[in-house]
Amino acid sequence: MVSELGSGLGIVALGLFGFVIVLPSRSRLFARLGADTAVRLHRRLATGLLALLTAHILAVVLADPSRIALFRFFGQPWRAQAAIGSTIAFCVLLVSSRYRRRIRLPYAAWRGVHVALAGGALLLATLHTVGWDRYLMTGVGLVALIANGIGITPMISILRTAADDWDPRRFVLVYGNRDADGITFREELDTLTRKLELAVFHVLTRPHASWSGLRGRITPAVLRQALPEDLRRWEFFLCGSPPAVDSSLTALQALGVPPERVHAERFVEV
Amino acid sequence: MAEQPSTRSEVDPYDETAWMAIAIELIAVAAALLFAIYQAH
Repeated sequence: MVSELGSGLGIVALGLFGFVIVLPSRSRLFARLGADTAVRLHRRLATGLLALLTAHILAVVLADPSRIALFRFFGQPWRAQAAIGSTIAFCVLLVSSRYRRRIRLPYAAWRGVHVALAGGALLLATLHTVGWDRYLMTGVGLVALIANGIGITPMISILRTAADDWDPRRFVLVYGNRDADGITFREELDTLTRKLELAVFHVLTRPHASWSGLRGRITPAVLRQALPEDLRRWEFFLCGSPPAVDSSLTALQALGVPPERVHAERFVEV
Repeated sequence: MAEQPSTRSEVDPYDETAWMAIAIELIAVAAALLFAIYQAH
């Protein structure tokens, strides 16, 4: 919920930023407001925008404190670098406007700097929002991983890389095993669910009586419980023993998943 | 002659833009909250 609030505050702040920039432009839209009122509202909203931006950053870090590492800038994903650049440009914009006279910046020079910084900050903020691609879901933004037994190894590699890259895509892992003792990387998967937009479903063929998760083999019924109804934008990666992969392929076929969206690897013992 | 400090208050309660800004900011926060509630469910 905090993570969603952080995203919401960011998206709203971006919209308000656009509005604040357009306000003093003497557009016909604001003609009734009057030029003087528009400029005064522009100044007031800039302070509110700073509050929204601060709340956005706080919520995003509170949702996952490890994101504080993104502030190191160098070596971080470009989406984070764009956010830092935009925030710095916005802060310079506010300070140069508030203290223009004190720093003896001529009006014409200040106006040029003001427009350039505002445009740059808005462009970087837009790149940051589009770059996270959390809600736009353009292209392949949804990844389903279906593993059986030791077939988890390539999946854990995919998830580790995604976590290292702060991948914003939505992941679902359906992981079949004989019993709970056979679940490999269980603790690491729990950690990854906090770093990624990841849901993990364990499916056990011979679970203990106390097991409250999914039971049986990976069938269409099990996949229906783990995956959303609309599978059109999902990409599927399968790995496990040949019978398990074949069974999962049949299940996906039954759900109407096109074969070009399915990538399978059969684990053969040698 | 020395410059006299301004006695004009920074916040003018009769400035209509103060209320406009508060209304816009409240709408923005409400929109962010609604978005979060919708996405979380």
